Amino acid sequence: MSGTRKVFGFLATMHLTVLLAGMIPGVGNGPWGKVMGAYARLTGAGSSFGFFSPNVGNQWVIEFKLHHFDGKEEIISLKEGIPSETAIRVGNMSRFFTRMFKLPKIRRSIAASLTAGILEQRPQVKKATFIAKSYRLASLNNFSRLKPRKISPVYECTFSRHPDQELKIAGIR
Amino acid sequence: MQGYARNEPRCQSILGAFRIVLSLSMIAEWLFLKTSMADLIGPNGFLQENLMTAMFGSSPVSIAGWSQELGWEAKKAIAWGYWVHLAFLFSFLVGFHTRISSVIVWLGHTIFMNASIFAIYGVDRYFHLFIFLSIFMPMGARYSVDAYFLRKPLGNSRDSLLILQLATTITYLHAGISKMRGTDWWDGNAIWRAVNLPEFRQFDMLWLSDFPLIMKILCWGTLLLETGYIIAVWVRPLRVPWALGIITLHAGIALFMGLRLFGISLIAINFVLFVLPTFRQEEGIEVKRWTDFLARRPKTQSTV
Repeated sequence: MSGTRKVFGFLATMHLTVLLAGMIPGVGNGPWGKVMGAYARLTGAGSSFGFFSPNVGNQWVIEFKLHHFDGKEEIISLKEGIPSETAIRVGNMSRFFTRMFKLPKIRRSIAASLTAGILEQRPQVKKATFIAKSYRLASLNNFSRLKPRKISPVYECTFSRHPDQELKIAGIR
Repeated sequence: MQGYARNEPRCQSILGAFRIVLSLSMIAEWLFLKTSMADLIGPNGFLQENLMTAMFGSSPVSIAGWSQELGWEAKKAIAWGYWVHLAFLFSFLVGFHTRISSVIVWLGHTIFMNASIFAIYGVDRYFHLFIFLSIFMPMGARYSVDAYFLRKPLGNSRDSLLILQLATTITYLHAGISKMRGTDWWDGNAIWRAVNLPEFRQFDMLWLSDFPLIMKILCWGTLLLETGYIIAVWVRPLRVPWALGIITLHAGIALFMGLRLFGISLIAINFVLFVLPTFRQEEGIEVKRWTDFLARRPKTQSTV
């Protein structure tokens, strides 16, 4: 076996070991976790590949009530009008809001950031109300066709466009 | 690697096919994201960079900081980065200076992954894992411009193929074991929820509630396929059926959950890594296929 092949074999073994270590719960914590996190960010080994695990759980639906300059109102979802591949990623971003919901200041900032994205895309909108709803699908055991799901609002917050931006948009018009 | 392709020319062909599949998948992803790139990773995207910095501290990947240094608007910097990355993806696809292309593609993908950690999902993790490994492997030995001009790539194709196969099966083991820790995958609720939640729902699948046993069997089948893959692919009679099982699983994900890029990319990757190497071929003799148009015949007959 040549020297190069030995080195390659050793490095590959180390890499695959880190990949394997990624599945051990708690390995990402502590000082070793920091090193592993940095290695994962660079190489992909050590990242989580546990998709839809340990449970699938319920989800939250995020919608926006848009108030146009001309008085028109409409309700859209966060994924309205975007390609499906982007929608999957935007879904991940909205899950971030769900995860941070228990922290009031942070949840408001995330809601503001997501709403700003919607306002940025739609210059005709004067203000937007961020609406988060929990979507609970009955489990297989408790499922009834009469009541398959329970949707309940959990958070609402309205954000207006900055007055400077309003003037800019008015000027363009 | 009993039963798998073992000679260097054959393994080089498989790595060449793998490079084509990986680069085509990455190009498809990049084209799909063309109009949304600023929304996903831009400083004023859906999750603004200021907010992320306030929450998690400054990141080494800062689109706002970099564009400021360049004196460009962030959107212009993102657009330039987009086209440069796409150009090197094409270079990697055709195998033109394959090693350099793979390094730049890896760098671009790493920046994309780290610019907004919430804009990524499973398919990006797989691409990241594979593109990093590709840097060290003779990916341009076949079906490439490099092969046409007889640029000899460094690296052992047989070892490289083995590493790719091991890395892939480890990710499935990870996926399977993580699922086993929850209850949803044991009582059949996982697939029931996955296909009926608004985020992934493609069709009305509520009728599945009439078949709870089938839901359970599908969940258990997923656990078995994912955790057992790492062993089954080395057992000759199980290899192809198991790989086809995994391919069917990804077809289901693409069809019933709408994760089309993820599903189709992993179908192609699993086919190239685990089904293609089992095809019979006379050792050392090139098979005339349309994909061999750029491939060179081995100068010497290889030994098994």
